[in-house]
Amino acid sequence: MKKKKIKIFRDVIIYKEYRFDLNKEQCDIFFKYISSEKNDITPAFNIDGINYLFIKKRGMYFVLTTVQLVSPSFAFEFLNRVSTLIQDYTASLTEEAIRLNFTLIYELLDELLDFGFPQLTSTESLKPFVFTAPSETKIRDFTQKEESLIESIINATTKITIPGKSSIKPIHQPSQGQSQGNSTSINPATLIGNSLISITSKSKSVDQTNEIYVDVWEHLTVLYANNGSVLRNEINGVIQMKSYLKGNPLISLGLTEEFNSNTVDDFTFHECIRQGFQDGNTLNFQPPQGEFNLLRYRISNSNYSPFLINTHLDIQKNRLDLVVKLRSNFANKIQSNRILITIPVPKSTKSCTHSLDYGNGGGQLVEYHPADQNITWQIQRMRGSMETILRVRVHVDSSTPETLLKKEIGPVGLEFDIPNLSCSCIQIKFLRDLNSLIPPIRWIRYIAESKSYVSRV
Amino acid sequence: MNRSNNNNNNYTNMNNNKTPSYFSELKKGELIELKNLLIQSSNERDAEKTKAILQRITYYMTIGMDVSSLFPYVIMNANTIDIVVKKLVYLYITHYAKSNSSLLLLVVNTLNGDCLNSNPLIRALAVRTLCSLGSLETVEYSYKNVMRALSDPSAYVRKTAVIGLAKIYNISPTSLDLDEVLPIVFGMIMDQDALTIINAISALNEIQPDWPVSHQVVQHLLAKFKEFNEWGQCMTIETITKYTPSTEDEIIDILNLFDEKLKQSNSALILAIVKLFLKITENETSIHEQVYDRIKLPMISLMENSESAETSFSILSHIHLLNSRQPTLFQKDYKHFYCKYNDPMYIKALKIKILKEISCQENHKDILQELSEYVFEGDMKLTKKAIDAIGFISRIKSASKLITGYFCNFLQSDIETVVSYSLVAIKDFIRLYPEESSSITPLASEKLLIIEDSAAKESLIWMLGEYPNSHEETPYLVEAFIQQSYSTQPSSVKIQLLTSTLKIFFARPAETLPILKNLLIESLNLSLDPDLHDLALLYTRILKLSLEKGQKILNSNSNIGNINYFLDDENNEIRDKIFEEFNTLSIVYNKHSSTYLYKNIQQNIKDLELASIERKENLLRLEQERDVTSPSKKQQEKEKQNELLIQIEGSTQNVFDSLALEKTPELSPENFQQSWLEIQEQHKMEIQLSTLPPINEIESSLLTEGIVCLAYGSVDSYTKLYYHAKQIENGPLFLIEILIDEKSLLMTISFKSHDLKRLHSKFIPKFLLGLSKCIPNIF
Repeated sequence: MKKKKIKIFRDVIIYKEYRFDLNKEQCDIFFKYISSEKNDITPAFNIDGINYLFIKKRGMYFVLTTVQLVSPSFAFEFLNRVSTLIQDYTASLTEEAIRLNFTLIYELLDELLDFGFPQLTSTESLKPFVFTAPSETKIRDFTQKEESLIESIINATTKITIPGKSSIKPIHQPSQGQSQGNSTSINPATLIGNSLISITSKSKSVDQTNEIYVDVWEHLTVLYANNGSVLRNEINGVIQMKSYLKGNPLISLGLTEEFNSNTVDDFTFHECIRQGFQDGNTLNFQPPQGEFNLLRYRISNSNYSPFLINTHLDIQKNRLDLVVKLRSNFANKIQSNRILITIPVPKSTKSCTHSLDYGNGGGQLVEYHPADQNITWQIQRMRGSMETILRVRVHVDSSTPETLLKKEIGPVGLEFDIPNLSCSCIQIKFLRDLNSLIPPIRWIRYIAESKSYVSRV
Repeated sequence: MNRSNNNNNNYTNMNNNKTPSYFSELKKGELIELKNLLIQSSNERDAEKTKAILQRITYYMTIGMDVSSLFPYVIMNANTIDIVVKKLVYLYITHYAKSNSSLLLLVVNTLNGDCLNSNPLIRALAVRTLCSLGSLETVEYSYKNVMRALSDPSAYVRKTAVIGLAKIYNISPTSLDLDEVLPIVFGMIMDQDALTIINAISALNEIQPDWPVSHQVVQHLLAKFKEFNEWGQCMTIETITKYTPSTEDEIIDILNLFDEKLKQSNSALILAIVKLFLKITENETSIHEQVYDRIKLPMISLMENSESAETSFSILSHIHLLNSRQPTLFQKDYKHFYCKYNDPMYIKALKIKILKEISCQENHKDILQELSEYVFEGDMKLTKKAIDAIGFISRIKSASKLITGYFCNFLQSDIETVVSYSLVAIKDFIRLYPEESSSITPLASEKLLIIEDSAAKESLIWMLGEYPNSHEETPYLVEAFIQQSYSTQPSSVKIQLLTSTLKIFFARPAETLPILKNLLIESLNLSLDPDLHDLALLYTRILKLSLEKGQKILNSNSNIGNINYFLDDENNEIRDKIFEEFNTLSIVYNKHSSTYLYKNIQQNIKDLELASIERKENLLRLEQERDVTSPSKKQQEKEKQNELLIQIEGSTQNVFDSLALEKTPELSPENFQQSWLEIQEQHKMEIQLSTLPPINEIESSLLTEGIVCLAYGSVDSYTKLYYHAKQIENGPLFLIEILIDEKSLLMTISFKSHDLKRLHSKFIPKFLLGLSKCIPNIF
């Protein structure tokens, strides 16, 4: 690995050379390439013998360039690690946070790679080497009270913000005067030891509380055929954690469901899990500090879907009538966040009219966008066990054949997220510190989110 | 890119907010101001103030402004006890070291001092910086300090020092005494500290890439494995992949040890393990098969539920490759490769590629249904890929009826792109299943006057020629088409039109005669296109000769229905080569590293240039020799022979040979190289020679054809010759590489061109004809 840069929209915000065999020209070449329309952009490409690998997160590109034959997975995983680290240390992964904290980030980059080889990369092990205190951005001032920007690490492209109370504190606060080299609060003796990984934080971090945040995210892929039958119903789940726990406690996490071939198809662990499941549903591990994904699981034949969609299509000579019925299939005390439903309409559409059977309760808004050739239907919130019906009449050019109209309308796509809902019924039964009687402060949330939720018409 | 793509509104607001003062533009006079501030701060020794100034400078450096002139003043601040100030100064120095190498010696004293600091953090920082200066002047100091730091009591310093060795080797390989250094590095692999072990391996890979991985090293790495971080684990597995286990038990041990690791979610680690498993079981067929079954589930999980789309992309590329080895492995899991609504295009494209390749008797119905949904999703690229995939699935014989149905459906859709892409795909489909033409061709015919895409027109006109009776109106459709837009058609469409019209004429002479006549006259008299002109001439002569024979000749090449595979399907040889580079960029590029890596490209260009010089020298010498000695009798005879051949060929050229080449095409070695690398498909042929052919004669006889030698020479007992030719009037370029193994006398000729059709039908015969004059037994 030769070099790494982080940039945003033609502005390079952080740039670091590790092997000094390439130069800044590569930044321009990169921007030129990705903004060219004619290329099929892939996250790895080669121009004149130089390899460019990038990930895109929060509208930013994290780019690595090299002339060597590297593993693309290694590079992408590493770039993901870098972005998580920046988030852990600066409290948010935004352009402003990076600009405000570039000295801190240079400190990180200096330790992360040496001559292109990964060195210390865990949030915790880097603490002794970071002396700059983070400058926090003012996100809180102009976001709603309950909105968290630190989340959505998995799906940065959704337009949905997830409510909740996950932390947006930076993970590390070096104490004043710590950077005075010879009087550093880090005991040099700890560095002489054999393993750096085992160094626990010795910094006098005043504001660190003994907290752990747990998000159980489930991403749903559902596909309905036009007759309402389910063609595909998958859950991709992840238990995401952010740990501010002091010391290196041994944590035990119990789940309500046993993980076996009857309940899940497959699952993968974070490296901190050495042993796998105990008694089928308990995990023991020492969580690293900062954000990480403890467990990922996959269920390919789920029989539950949080929203049921029924469509009915009637085609006349010069118009289409489409009825979309949406039912929320969860407990009434649960409420979904904003739902966005998109319905593509035929090219020859002249005009659209629509009506909602039960009025526009729940903050519903239906709009026809001629430029995008679709209708959007927004529902600000929806409680469980409710139903709403949209009727759309599309006037089209009478010369268009019926078969074509049928092809061109739909599919109906849903985007949503529902807090406090676990579609797989996997829940956290307990989370405790095995070596302490005082439990850590736990913040646990459940979120069900659409990944690809589509009904064909 | 525009900011509206960014969905986070808060984010945009933030940029309008106030920004810190050091983000303003670098104004005139600011450099002077900074200079003064630096001088001042080096006197005052106020760490906070110095930090602020240095941060400002670092920021300018990051955004690409030139602040290198501040170098002498920045280094005045190097001697400080504040770590952040020190780090910033060293960051600056490393960045501008190359442009200020004469001033570097001024900081060496401070760095030397820091290498002896009581704080290991500062010692390591100094060693790292000293080795990163990239300057020959400081190598001596780096070496001295690195050698001492290699045995530092702090593991942090040791792990930094061993990378320092690799850096010094990179700047000046000769300044390392390998006899002294290598045993130390080998010793450090046996260190107790995890990162020191990993870095020692990294350094060794740089200094001596082919170092032997011993049993002892493997045992040590396995014992330490749990202490390594994820990147170290990847590196360790890569190292073990280079090791050859001596017994089957050892293989089983390694498999069992890493088997539980397949549950982890780091895709880099999983792919490293997969590569290791495939490699060490290479010669153990039964275990090898089990390995494939074992890795399937983890691969699917990583693809479905990964950290980011980019990681999925890499995994999908590897699944695509594994498919070529184990075509049945993923057949039952086809639903995992259905596109998701918000998948990026690069993921969708790969999934469609995989879907078409895993399609089989059992799953093709579902896959076809799914693909047909993509056709109407509205994205042109997706439409094309889906239709091509549907066409590809027609390899499954029982799918043909179903596919006919889909194609008919698409043709009736009236969406220009869907119709055009379908027409192109249908041509190959009908070549496989002529019996399906009766349902498709009538529908297709109606599109002739509507479609715009010339590839689609070519394909459709071909169909009309093959099945002139499928539609009552065929001749009149053709006539209407000619009247509507003949003059604006590209040459490829005109050529196809001429051939097809002739074929329609044979089937339906009365209706077609006037059309054909006009078309021939037009092509013969008014066309500036040599291809078209020659073809018209050929047809005219054949028709004059005998109508019956003409019909036989023209319809004889329709061996339709006997085709089992197309050329494109047969690229497994390339895939095998790529397979060797599992878990590298070659898999996502679908190319072997020899075609794209910087060092390889540079080497190839150098080879070509060398060969080109050699050739010029040879020619010069040859000319001199010619001047001196008179040609021998034998040579005279041969020349006559050649003349005769040229005459014969010349006489036939008017009729058959419609490929006119430029007499003196120009192409630089760099352009040759570039084009050669660009074109993936090549046509290869091998010819066993009895003697080494006379290179000069080959050159001169090919030159008369317009095929020019760019370079030749002998490398590693291989004679390499590079030729190129270009069709006149901006026609396609043809590139040829001849490799002659001087020992076995096996001659391998590789042809490349963007225009494969013309390469196969026209150029290769011409080339071989030229070659046969010098190598008579070639056919």
